[in-house]
Amino acid sequence: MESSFDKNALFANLNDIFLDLLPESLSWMAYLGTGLTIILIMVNAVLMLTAFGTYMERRVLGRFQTRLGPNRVGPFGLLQPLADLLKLITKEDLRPESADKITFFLAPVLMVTSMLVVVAVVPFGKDSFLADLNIGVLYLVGIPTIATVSMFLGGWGSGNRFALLGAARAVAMLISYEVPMIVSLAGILILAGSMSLVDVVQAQQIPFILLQPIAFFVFLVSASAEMNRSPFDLMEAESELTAGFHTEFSGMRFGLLQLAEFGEVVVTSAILATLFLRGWENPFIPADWQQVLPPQLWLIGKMLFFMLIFTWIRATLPRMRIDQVMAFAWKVLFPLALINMFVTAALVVAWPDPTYTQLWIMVGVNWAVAIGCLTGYTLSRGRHRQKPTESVRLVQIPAEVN
Amino acid sequence: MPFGLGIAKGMMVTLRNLARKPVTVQYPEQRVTQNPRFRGEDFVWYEERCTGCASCAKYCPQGIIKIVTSPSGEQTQEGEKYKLETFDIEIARCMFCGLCVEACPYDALHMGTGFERAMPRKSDLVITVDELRASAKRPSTWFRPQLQDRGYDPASGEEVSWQDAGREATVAPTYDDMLKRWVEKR
Amino acid sequence: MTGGIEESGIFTAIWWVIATLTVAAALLVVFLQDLVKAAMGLIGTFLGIAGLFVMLNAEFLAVVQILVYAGAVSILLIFGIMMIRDTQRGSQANSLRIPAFALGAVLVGIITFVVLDTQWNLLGEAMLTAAVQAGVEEAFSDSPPVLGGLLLREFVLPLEAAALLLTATLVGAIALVKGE
Repeated sequence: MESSFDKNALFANLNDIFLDLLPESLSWMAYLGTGLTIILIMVNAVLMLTAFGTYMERRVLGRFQTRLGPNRVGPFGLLQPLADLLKLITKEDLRPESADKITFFLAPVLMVTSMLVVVAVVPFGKDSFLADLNIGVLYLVGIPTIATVSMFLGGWGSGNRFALLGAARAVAMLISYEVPMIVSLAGILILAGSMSLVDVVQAQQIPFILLQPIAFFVFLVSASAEMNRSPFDLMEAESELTAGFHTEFSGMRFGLLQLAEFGEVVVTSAILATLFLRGWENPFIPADWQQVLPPQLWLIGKMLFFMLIFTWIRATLPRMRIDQVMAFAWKVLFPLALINMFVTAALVVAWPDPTYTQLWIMVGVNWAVAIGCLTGYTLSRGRHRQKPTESVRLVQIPAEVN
Repeated sequence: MPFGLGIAKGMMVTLRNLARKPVTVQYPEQRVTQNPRFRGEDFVWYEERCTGCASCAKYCPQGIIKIVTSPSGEQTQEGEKYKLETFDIEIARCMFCGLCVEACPYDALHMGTGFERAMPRKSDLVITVDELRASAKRPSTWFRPQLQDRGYDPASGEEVSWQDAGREATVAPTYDDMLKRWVEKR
Repeated sequence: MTGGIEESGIFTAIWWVIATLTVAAALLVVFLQDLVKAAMGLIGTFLGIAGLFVMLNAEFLAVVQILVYAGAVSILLIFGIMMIRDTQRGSQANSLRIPAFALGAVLVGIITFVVLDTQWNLLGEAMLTAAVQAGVEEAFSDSPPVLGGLLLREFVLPLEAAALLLTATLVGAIALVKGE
């Protein structure tokens, strides 16, 4: 294992503190202690953000719908997550008789685990992260596949035919959307030259949201689909499949699934902030306002921004049907991601080490390609729609009938 | 027309909604004002007009009005009022259709305007005759054009006396007229 | 490859834990009768193997293992198992038990002999200079640039052949579905 002490000053400092505290024979525990402390901080941060994120989402969703959100439980309803938690804990934990014990137990556990494990790679500052894997970006897209498996196991283990069907539909959607997600990140990898998240953040002289608009759009939509979030939340379409794979889960098991779902929103916002908006630095072009806020607060601010964007999309768009969802993934998002990858690769081959102005030219080219794709898609759909009116002809009815 | 324009317009609408004042009415501090014709859970009953004919009980599709009368012995002529011993309306099964109000020939029963009659026990969900006698007389103007044409609004708080609640001619009757209404008609 | 953590006891302890869990999951796959539980054991095996890859400094392979095996292949397997009605009993043992056991024992013997007899340490005990050491590490490392270079230079023919094979599979699947 590469030494964690080189780039990770936080790790090194905490390790020194632990080494001072422990006697000489137990010095191996310093490594363990340091790791566990950082894990504690990060997991707590994510869980706290998730809990208050659910509150914030309900309030903001209410304001998008010109109503107030929950405002009764504490001052301004701030204790609403606590009330939800208490309600879920005190509910009866039903388990259907035909349910598979181990699968039923494991599915929520795997979902929460796969959500929490991703946050280990996200850098909260220049040297405060848990692990800077040199394959960080691939790790980010690889771990949610475990969530996919656990969703299917949950649907199977419920012993309910409708849950299984809902789970199968959801898994089909999820594995279809993994492909555009990974290919859209290829453009970023080509530009950054490395898969390590710290390197990606530091390679962004211009934030990648400007340099790679197509990749941003594709990743945003694919990540929404991966999280089962509107407009892709056919899992929770109660009128269709009685709540899909989490029909039979009740009480705290259901609470864990909801935690995993909203935790994925938080973690995906963190990923989006790191990959597209320059992580812990300020995203605006003149980079000399860095010392205005500490880097952790920059990252959390960007995470909140993306969480608001997800809530905004949820408030606006209706649910898509499963066939529309699949068609969109394979026919629209995947070609877009491929086009983005080719354009980026061509630009990087032309200018392997771009200067600042050349980067701005790249921005222009990328946006031109994006608008070109949008126009092309519009025209292709428009031509499809104009056909019926052309095929209507006036038929001359003969005046006399013999 | 570009592809995402519909979605973009929708998102702009939602964004503009953020600036609008929320339309939530914060119950129980604030209450929504009802329409004057709102058919609520209370009932307005004028004892001076009621004869105990039990038409309302007969018309009720649920059969929730229970009327027990006895000869009053006050006026022994025909057309006198009965003495009402029991007049219970079971709100638990009432569907507030207002057929009892339509049925009453003497305009003695009117719909009310309340909506806050939730009780912890089902046996509490009965309006007894004492409660009907004591309640404030603010009838809903549903099926009562004489009240509606006057522009009466039950939410304003003013009460309607038994003389003004009926659909007789403009002159409000006296109590003796009401007692003798059938007798005189012969 | 350098660094103080590898020689410490905790590295060995973690290695033993992961290896035991992997082998236990593999035994569950073989010995459990319920097919779905066996599939879950298989997922556990894949995850354990990914952990072992991480311990061997092959992080890229570990993540690709999770992405491909634990993510996609397991789902495919579970979809296939779902088609079978009676998953509780799975595949029963029949009269070919003894020959199967004998064949398995022979296979285990061959593999054990190969594992014990192979020279795993290709460089031997020679003392290498720092530059050669770095060059060796670079050539055998797991990093994506090296793998990408290998794939697109030395092994481009297998890459293209695999791509052609996958395209043929896709087209065949679509043809099968549309043919109905």
